[in-house]
Amino acid sequence: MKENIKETIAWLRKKGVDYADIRQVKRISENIRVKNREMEGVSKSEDLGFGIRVLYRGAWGFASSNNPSKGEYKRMAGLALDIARASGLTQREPVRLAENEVYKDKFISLCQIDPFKVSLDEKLNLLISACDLMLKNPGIRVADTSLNFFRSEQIFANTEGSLIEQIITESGGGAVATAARNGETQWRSYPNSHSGDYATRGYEFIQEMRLLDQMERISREAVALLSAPECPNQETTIIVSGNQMALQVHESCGHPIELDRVLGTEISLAGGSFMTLDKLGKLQYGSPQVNIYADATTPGGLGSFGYDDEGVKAQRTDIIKQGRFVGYLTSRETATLFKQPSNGTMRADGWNRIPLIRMTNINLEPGEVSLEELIADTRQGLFLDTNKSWSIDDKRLNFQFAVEAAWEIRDGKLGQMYKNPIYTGITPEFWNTCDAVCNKNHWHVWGVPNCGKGEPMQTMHVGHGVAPARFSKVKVGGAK
Amino acid sequence: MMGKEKIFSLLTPVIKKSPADQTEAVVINSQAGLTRYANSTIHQNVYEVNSKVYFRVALGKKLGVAATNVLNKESLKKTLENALSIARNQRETPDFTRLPGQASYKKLKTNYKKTANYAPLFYKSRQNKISVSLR
Repeated sequence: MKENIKETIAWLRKKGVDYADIRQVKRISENIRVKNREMEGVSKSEDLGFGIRVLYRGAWGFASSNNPSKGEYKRMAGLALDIARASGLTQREPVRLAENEVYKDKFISLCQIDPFKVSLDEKLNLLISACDLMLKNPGIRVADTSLNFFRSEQIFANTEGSLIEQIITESGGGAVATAARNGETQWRSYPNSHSGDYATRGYEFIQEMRLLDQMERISREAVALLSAPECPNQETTIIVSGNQMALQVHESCGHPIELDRVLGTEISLAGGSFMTLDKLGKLQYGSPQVNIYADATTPGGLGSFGYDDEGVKAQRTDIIKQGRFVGYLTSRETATLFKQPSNGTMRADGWNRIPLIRMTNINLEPGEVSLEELIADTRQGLFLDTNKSWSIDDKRLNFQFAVEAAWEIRDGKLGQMYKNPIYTGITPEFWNTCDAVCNKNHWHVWGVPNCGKGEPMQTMHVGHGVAPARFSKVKVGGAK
Repeated sequence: MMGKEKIFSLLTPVIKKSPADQTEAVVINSQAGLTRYANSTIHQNVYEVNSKVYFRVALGKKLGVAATNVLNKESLKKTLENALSIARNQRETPDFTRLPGQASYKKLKTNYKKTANYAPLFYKSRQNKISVSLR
């Protein structure tokens, strides 16, 4: 198959393209869900194909096929070229690409235990045992568990001479205990909501999750929420848990720094950004305690890789430095705006999609204090844990999050549990009230496997290394 | 994209060897193009062609489904085995009676090649006309 790729690249060079690249991707996946001890669903799928992206006289074309034969490679290359010619009809300014080094390399992600070699029986036993533990609590009506595994094998080649192979394995899963009484439901999740936690690692990641150790706790808390009072409306200090901080960073920082979004090319679906070009280097996005960076090299991060889908090497880029907004996520095309090389964030959801600017691991640097010290240092406030829902406007400015549970903090101690908590804010106002981020002992890279963007829709797997953090004067309330 | 004859020649031997009580294969051929226009320019112009096979097997009242778009004998055989392995571990579906039997279907003509291939081939023949009208 590599021969087909090399021959097609040579053919495209002869045709005089400005640039072209080919990605051949094979992806396998396994998804298992067990609900109340019964197998709710298992799916296994395999997907193979290639996509050819052509830049001709400054305009893009893309064609893709699931048939990796020599003839189909040539047909798709011709079609991508024709499409680029057609795109050129409306081109105002020719697309230019930032310089990039030529790489010939192979990258394999961390994977000690191949999840696809672990038997279905073993995986089912784990999930059934987790259900058993949750259902021991008579208040639990639904015990829902899942495991998901993905492997992507990719060959990338471009007309500049790069030839890169990557094998990336991803594992993830989690559990949700749902309690119900008198028409009301409450739930608690572990290790995170929305299908759990994920990493570019093997089955060892699932073992280290120690799922069974937490089932009794989440069941007890879900039942306790039914009797807990509604979270009172107030303006107060909040400490946001690690898994909720992951989504806070994702929605209010990760998305608005995508430069294609800033430049308006995603407005038709996902919206724009308040972090416009004039704010770069000037906007005080957060307090001096806030340091956020994009890092595709974070070990095991769900947004980690060797090279992005334009052949740019994985790297770390500062986004927010001591509160100041200093960088965007860029592509080779958009980076020319700053006369800089791309910082390597272009990724595609499979062979049949073009790469777009996507979050890698958007991480919040840890601070100095422990969570215990931070709580002890808080006279009055709330501890908010685990996302329930999110809402944010199309400029990523005004957000509202609901979380599964809140605990009152009074005189440095956790107290009363509250149900249905929500909090809301304006992105830079909120981040400017951040006065502490917990230390590296509480820092964890959370995997978010459902980041959506683009047309046709592309679902991307991204990561967020974060620790719990404290914010003041936040509007909090209760919402059923 | 595969035609009816090729689909049957590829799938029939695999299905015949299936140890399941019933085996079904569904083939979905797709061809799609999309053009995105922003800032008064085409910034995305994409095309894809794909063929995907879904095997559904029944072991008594236990069902299993697996899919692939790798259309060779080895991969199809492996995908069918995956569907069987899923069915063996699956709980019974009480309401399941049987997979649909043989039936004849009315042929519908809903795919018009001329429309499907409208762009960018249209460009080739009408380039000058479009260019003039855009100016």
